Amino acid sequence: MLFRTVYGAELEVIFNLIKNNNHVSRHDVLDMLVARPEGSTVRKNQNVDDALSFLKSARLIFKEQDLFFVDRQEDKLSFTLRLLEQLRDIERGKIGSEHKLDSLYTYLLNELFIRKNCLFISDVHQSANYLEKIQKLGGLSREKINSWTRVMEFIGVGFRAYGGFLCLYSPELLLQVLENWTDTESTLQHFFEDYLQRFLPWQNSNGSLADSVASSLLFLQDRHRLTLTHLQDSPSKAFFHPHNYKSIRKEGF
Amino acid sequence: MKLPCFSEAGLKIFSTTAAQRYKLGKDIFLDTHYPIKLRSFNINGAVDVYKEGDLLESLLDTQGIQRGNRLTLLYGAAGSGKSELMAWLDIKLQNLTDRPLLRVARTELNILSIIEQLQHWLTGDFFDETTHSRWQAMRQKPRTFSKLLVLKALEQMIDSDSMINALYYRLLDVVEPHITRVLELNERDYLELIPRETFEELREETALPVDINFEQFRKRLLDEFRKQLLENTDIPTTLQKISENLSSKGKRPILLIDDLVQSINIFATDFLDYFITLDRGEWDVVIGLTPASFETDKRHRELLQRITHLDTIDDRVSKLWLSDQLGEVSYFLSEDNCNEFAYGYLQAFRKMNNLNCENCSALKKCRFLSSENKIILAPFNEATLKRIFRNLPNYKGKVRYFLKYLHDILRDLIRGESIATAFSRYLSPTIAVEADNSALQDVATWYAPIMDNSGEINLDSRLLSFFDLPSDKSTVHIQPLTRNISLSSQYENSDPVLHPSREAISKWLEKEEINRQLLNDLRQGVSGWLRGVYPVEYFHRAGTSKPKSVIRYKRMEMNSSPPIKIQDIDSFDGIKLHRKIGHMAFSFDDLARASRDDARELCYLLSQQAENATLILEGYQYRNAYWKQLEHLISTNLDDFALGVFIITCIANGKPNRLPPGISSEIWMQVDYLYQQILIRTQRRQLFDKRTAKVGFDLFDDFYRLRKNLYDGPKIKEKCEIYDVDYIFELINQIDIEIVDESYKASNLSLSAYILKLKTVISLCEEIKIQSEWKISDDTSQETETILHQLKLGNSVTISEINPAVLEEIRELTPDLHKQIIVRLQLQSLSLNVKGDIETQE
Repeated sequence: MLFRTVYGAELEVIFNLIKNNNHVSRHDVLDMLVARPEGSTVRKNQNVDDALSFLKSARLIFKEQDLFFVDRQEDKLSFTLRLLEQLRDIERGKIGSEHKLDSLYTYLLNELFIRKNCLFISDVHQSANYLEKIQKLGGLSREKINSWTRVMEFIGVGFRAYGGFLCLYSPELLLQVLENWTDTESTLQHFFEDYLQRFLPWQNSNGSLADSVASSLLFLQDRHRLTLTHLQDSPSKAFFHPHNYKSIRKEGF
Repeated sequence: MKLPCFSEAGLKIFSTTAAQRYKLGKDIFLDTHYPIKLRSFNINGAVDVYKEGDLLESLLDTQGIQRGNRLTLLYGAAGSGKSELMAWLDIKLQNLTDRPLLRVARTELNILSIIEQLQHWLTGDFFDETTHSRWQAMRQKPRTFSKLLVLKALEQMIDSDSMINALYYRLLDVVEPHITRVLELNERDYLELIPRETFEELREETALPVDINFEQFRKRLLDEFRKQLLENTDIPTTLQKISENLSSKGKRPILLIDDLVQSINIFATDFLDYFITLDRGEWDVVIGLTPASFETDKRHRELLQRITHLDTIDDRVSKLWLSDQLGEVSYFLSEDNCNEFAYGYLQAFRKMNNLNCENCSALKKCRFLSSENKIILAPFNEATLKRIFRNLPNYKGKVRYFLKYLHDILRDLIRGESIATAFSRYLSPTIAVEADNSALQDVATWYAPIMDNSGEINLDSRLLSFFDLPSDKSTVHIQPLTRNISLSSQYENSDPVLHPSREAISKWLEKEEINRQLLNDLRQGVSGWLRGVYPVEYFHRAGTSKPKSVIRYKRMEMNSSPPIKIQDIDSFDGIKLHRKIGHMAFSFDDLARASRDDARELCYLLSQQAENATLILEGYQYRNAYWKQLEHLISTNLDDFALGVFIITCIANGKPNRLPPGISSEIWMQVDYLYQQILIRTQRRQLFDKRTAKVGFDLFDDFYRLRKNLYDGPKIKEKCEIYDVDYIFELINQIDIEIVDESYKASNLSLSAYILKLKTVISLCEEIKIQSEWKISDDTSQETETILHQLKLGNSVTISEINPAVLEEIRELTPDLHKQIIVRLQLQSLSLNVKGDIETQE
C-alpha cells in the first residue's frame, strides 16, 4: 500500500540502492541504512519495511526469491519523476493498484489543490475525507494523510505549513521535468497535455493552468530557465492570463 | 465634477464662527443652526442630557425662583459650539421676552463697549466723547499710560521714594506690553495687566526687599485703569445697581457672555466674583468657558478652580458641557448625525447661490448622493461625510473643523479640482482601494460605504452613475487603514484611528514617499509568515524527518530575519517584496501584531493567496544563493563538510552509541586511535563539551539521516571510499575562517568560531601523528631535545615561550612538527579574536 508511514528521502535512497546493485536483499538494505551499535547486526526495521512496501506498491521495485530488483534499470529519469509517473499511471488505471487506496495518491493532489486551484488547505485530512471517492473507500486516517503530505513535500509538490499543506511545485521539480523533456520548444498546450501530464496534474476545473504550477513556471522564466511567448498565429490554447502565452522554450539545459 | 449650484458665493455659509454666520442674517443663521445637546455631570457620576430648548426655557422661566443671580456655565473646547448656542439663545430671547438682554460676543464687543452698555442700562447715558478720545489718546502713548498706572499703584503701596524708584522701572517694562494690548481693544486672546508668574519671577530676581502682594498690586493697577479710561466704573457696583434698578421695575436682566476670558478679559474675575455671589443680584447669566484658555497663567488657573468648585447643588448654578475638556468628543455632533448637520449647510449654500434643488436640472443625478432618509448630500454622500468627521483633528472643536473641511473641500471642487485632490488635500484616506481604474479607485476611496473589515464590494450603481462611471465594473477591494484588523473582537469597540503602519503601506502602494521605519511591521509579518512555510534560513537535506537545522544564515535587516527587501524602499539584499502583492501587505502588517489565534487565521489566509507564492519562490532563491555562497566560502559542499565535522567530533569526544552505516573500518580505526591518544594527552578529558559535540552529530544528521535510526548509508559509503581522515582534516583546515560571514551560524555559535574548534582538534591530531614519526639526532641541542621529549610524552609545552633558535632547530630536524607549532601559534592568536564572539553567543 502506498499510504505507508514513509517520509520520502528514504524511498529514494532505497530505490537507488536497489537500482545500482540489482537484486538486493532486505538484509542488504538494512545493513546499508540502519544505524546500530558497533559489531551488531540488524534484522528488522519497520521504517525500511514500510519504504520497501511503498516502492513495491508504486511498482518501482519488484521482489523475486527474497531479492529486490528494478525494471527499466537503464532509465535516466530521476527517482522523483519516475515515482510521479508511476503514481499517475496508478491513478489513471494504466497500472493495476496493489491496494484500493493506491489510486488516490495523486488523485488527492489533483482534486484538493490543482482542480480547485487551491494553494493552501489547513486541514488536509478533513478536506480529503470530504471527497466522495474517498468516502466510498472508507476514508483516510490522519496518519495516512500526514504520510502523504511528507512524501508530497519530499517530491517538491509543496510544503507542510501551519498544520496544513501549501501546494506549490518547486522550481527544482519543474527543472527536472524540463531537463527530461526531449523537446526544446513547443506550444504550452502540447507541453502540458502531452508531457507534464505524465508526471503531475496541472489543470484547474476551468481548464486553466493552476496557480501552483503557474507561479513556479513564471519564476523560472524570470531566472532565464525557460521562455514563454505569445505565438500569436498559433491555434493552440493560451495560458497565464492576462499574458496569454502559448509557447514554451527551455533555456540553459 | 460640476453641479449647477457650484458657486463660491455660497461658501460664506460655512464660516467657522457663529458670529460670521450670524452676520449673514438671523434667518440664514437659524436655517443652518443644528439643535445642540449638552451634558451635565452629577456629583455621583451620572450624566444628564439637556437640549438647548431646556436651557432657553429655564432662562425664560422666572416664576417662583429664589432671589439672587442664576448662573449657567457652558463648558466646551474652542470651536465646540458655545458661541453658536449663545447666538441662538440671543435670537430666541429677543423674540420671546422683553427683558433687558445683553450678549457679550467673543468678537463683537470690546471692554469699553461692554462697560458703556452696562453704564447705559444704569444711567440711560453713554460715555461722553472725551472718554472715547482718551482711549484713542492713550493708544498713541501706551508707555506714558503704563507709567501712570504703575507709579500710581506703587505710590499707594510703598512709602519709600528710593524703593518706588527702584521697582518702578522693573515693573514698567513688564506691564507696558500688556497694557498696550489691552488698549488695542481688538485683542481676543486672554489679557492681563500683569501675569502672576511674571510678577513672581521679578520678585525673586530682585535683591530689593519687596513685600508687595500681587493681588493688591493688580487691583491698584486695575482701579487706576478704570479711573483713567472707564469713568471709574466699578463693575460689581454697576452690575448690582443695574440689578436693583431693573428689579424695582419687575424685570430681570439677562447677560450672555460667549467666553468669559476672551470676551471680558481683564475684568473676567470682577464679573465672575459678582455673579457667583449669588445673593447680590437678580441676573440670569450664561457664561461660556474654554478650559484650555485658563491654562495661560496661574491667576486664571485659580479662577478655573474656583468655578469648578462652585457648589452646583444649588439650583441657581448649572454647569453644562458641549464637548469634553480637550475637544475630542462633541456632545451633539457625531459620526451618526453629521450628515443631517451638513445637510442644513448644503441647503443654505444652494439657497445663497439662488438654486432650488426641486427646479434644478441636476436633481436626478444629485439624488444618487442622497442619504437613507432621502436628503440630498451632493457633492458628498453619507460615507464621505463620515470620513470627513473621522479625519477631524484631535483637541480641536469638532463643529468648527467639520465646517472648515466642508468649506475647503467644496471650494476646491467648485474650482475644478478632482475628488482625489480635493479630499486628499485635507483628509487622509481611511481605506486603501484596489480597482480596475483610477477613477473607480478615487470614487471608492472617498464614497464607498464605511467598512470595518477588508473585502471585496460592488459599488452602488447609483454612485457610479453620479460620476458617469460604467456600472458593469463596480467591484473594488477595500482594506481599512483605521485600525488593526483583528479576527477576534478585541478591537471592535475601539475608535477608528488611523494606524501609522497601515497608512505607510497605503502610501507605499501608491508610490508616495514614506518613512521606511513605519514598514517594519510589514517586513516582520512577511518574514514571520515565510519562516512558517519554507526553511529560508536553514540549510539541511530536503525530505528528512525533524531536521535540527544546525547550519543557518541568520541576518537581520530592519528588525526582520530573513531580511525583507521592500520594492523601491530598501537597498539591502533580501527577499524581494513587490508592490504587486497589493492589499495583501495589510494582512502581513496585521500578522506582525496579531495575537496567537489571530496569527494562525491570518497565516491560513495568506497561504491561500497566489500572489504570495512569489514570496516563497523568492525565499527559495535566497536560500539557494546563500547556500551556494557558504559552499564557496568554505570551498567544499555541505555534505562533505557535515561528514568531516562528524568524524572530527568522533575523534574529539568518541563515537556515538549507534554507528551510522557506510563509514569504512579504516576510518573508524583512525578515529579510535586518535581519540585514545587525545584521552592520554588530556588526562581522559573529552575535547568538546556536550553542546559542541551535539552540534557535530546534529549537523551530520541534517545531511545524512533519513528517518529515526535510518541513514543514507550508500552516500556515506561512497564518500568514505574516496576520503580518509587526512583528507577530512585537510578539508576543514583549508577553510579560511576570516572570510566566513558572521551571519552564518552553527547552532548558536558563529560558524567561524565553530570551525576554529574543529581546527584545534585537527591540530592536536596532527601533532600526535607527527610525534609518532620523528627521531632526535646526535646534533640536537639539549634544550630542543628536552622540548621534543616532552612533546613525545604528550606533556603540554607553552609554545609561545619556545626560543626562536630552538624553533629553527625543530624546523630543520622535523619540518612537519615545525609547521604544526606555527599553526598552533596562529590558532592561539585567532582564538583571542573569536573568544569574545563565542562567549557572546553561548
